[in-house]
Amino acid sequence: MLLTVEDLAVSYNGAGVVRGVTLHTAASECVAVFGPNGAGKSTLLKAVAGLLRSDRGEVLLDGERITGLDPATLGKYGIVYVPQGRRVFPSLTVYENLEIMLYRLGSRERRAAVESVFADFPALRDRSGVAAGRLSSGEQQIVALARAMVLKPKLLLLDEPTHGLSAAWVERVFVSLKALCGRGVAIVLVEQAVEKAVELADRGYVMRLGRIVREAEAANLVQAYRESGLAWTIKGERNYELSQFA
Amino acid sequence: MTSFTVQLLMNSMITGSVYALVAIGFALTYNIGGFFNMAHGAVFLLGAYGGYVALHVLQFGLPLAVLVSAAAAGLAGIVAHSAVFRRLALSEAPSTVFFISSLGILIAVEGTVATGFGYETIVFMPGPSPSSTFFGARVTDIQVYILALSFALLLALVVFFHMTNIGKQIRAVADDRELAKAVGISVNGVMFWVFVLGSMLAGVAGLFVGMEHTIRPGSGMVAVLWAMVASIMGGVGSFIGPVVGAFLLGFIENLAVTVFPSEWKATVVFSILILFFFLRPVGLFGVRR
Repeated sequence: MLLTVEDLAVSYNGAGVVRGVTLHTAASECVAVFGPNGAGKSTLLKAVAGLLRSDRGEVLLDGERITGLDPATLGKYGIVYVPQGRRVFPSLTVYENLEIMLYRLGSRERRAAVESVFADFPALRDRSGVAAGRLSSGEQQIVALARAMVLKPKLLLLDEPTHGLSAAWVERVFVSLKALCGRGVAIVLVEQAVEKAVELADRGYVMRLGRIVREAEAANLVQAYRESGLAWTIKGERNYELSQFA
Repeated sequence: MTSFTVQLLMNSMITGSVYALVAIGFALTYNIGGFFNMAHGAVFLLGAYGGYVALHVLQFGLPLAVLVSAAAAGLAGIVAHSAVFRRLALSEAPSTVFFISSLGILIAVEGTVATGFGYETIVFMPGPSPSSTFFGARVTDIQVYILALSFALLLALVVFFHMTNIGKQIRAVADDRELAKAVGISVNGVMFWVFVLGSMLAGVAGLFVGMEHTIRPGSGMVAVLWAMVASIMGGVGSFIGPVVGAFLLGFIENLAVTVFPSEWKATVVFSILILFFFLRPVGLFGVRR
């Protein structure tokens, strides 16, 4: 198993937000984590990414304990976290946003690594000299994904990558994610655009009140979600969002 | 343009360029650390007195005195960061604790300097300095030296921020500290460099103030207050803001002393600062976050 999370618990000011979560991801597997707002999904990702201290539990990568390691060290292990909302460094150019991850490398190696990511995200090449803060939200999210990919990760931890994006950009972001999955990158995805996430995921978990309440293969995710006492509610024409069933 | 206007602009440029050297480090520490670092006045003071020792005790020339000032202040910045601020950051202390600790450092350094050198005002360059006339304005050789070196340092800083890894990381952390942490940039490592660079620039500014005016143990507090005003007027959160704010402050200060008695200088500056709070609270180039 690539990533194993065992009985992980995280609290804010004494209140348990993640309460004994156990999940796993195989190499090249895309796993989605669903749940209503406040279920603890983002907190779970932050704890795995080394940004929050856990009260108990373990995080293992290929069987090796990585609990509590900081994001820089996790990057060396091939785990890269892409946070929600905060996508880019606005005053840095697109090129600098990608290059900033590679400060340990020499300038020639940095240039080669950024060029290889430009090959995967060709639209960014034309915008490489533009301050990232001037890009649209969708473009910024693509920069955030490209920035993660520049480290050639084994595992991406993505926290709501389509949050606040238009339907067209949601589509484009998922096209990019599918391409990453196709290249063998494992993904743990927290996402509100459930319809798209179900298309992408191999397997999924449903979280509620800090606990995993269901685990299912992609084909059975919708059923698992319903069984967990939650429902799909249609928002607009295309986007489905999870909300707690009254 | 009258010779009065040229003289006013020239004086403003000289004053502003020195203030800019102090304000950049102060604003950077605020952007990245999230607190008003009063200890910036302490490194200014140590740079000034270090320069004085280099010039008058060790009998060094001016270029070497500049290096001594920068080294003394940079070393003090490293000690302040390693012994105090890094530890506070690791214990996730609130910004008020950072502020009070930095004030404590400033007071302690002021007292130490006063013990060694006394409370009296020190004149670095006694006697008249050779001068020349530029479009009707009188400029001393010392002022030309200060202006040239200050602009060279500011230019070097721009190159550093855009061409080096650590410079880019400093910009990234100033942009978004939480994102920087999330993507694995060492915020503490960046803070170390901000302290080193900011302190070195403040130390050189301390020497320049001593050469152009005078220095006493209370000068550190004055310098950090002026850096604060320049940063707020220009806008904390941007890189150009504190520099522009410093030149604006230099202009206001020099204009004020031509219109009002010199005792009113601080009153005029702080009145305009309060106006900024009402009319443009984020400063000229500040970003609302």
